Amino acid sequence: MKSGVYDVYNRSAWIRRAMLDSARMAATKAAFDTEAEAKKEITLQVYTGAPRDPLNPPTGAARASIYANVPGKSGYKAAASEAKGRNPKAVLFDEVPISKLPSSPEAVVAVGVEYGANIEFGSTSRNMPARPYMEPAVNKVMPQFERFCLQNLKAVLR
Amino acid sequence: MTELQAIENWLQSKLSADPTISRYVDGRIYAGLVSSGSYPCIVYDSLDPRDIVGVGSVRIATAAMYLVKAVGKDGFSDIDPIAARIDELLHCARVDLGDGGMFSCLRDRPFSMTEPPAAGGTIYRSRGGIYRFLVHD
Repeated sequence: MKSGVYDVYNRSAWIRRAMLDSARMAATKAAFDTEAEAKKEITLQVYTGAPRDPLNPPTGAARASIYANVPGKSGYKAAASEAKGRNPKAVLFDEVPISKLPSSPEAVVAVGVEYGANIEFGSTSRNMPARPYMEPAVNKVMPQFERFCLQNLKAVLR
Repeated sequence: MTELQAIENWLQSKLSADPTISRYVDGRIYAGLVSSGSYPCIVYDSLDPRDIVGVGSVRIATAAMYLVKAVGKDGFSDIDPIAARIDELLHCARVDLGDGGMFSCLRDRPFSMTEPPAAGGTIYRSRGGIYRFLVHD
């Protein structure tokens, strides 16, 4: 049997929890930032200037249907109901679920209307050119996300 | 000539000049919108071009993403060989534009999409890639 004075100093559990919290914060911030940027981009791409088809001008359903889901908070219902209010004929995808754990470092940004990908990448069936809004939004937010993660990581390990 | 124009001119001529591509699509290579009813065809479109700016207003280069895809109606088996050939032609290409300008092209990621039919119409399938062009003046 060992004898003497011991001081057990183990911060690994604290560091793990702090890093997880920090990752969750970063993911949540990135998701809301991306949602906001995607809405700005789609406004520029689709809703600015003369409508491509004056008989069927854009209703705003696609923009309204962009939502973010973060742990403990779903933006889907509000987005879906606003999109349906703007265009009752709009077909919406089901919600993209995320982990139910409130501490999970996971977040989703998605567009609810089924033609969301057609706007982003263009469509042959709808004769639409590509008008990307999600890719530019992600490209804008990614550097901020990386900076935020790095700052948090430094703060945790200090 | 603008950077995007240089890229699109090169894309159009590179794809049109290839005998394998010609055999499949017979000149049906479009920028943005498909303008004929015959398939398969190739469509390319710009996604999120942006300038890389240095200190002050010095523009170092332009980075442009292009979606280049083969579009067909009869399943992926028809368009897969076209998508593969597109990739052989574009991935890692370097082009001298003269006057010291040049651009390079790399595939950023592959692309595959089945479009939901609009109002009981045809199902269109597309496959290809999202290519990152870097244009230096």
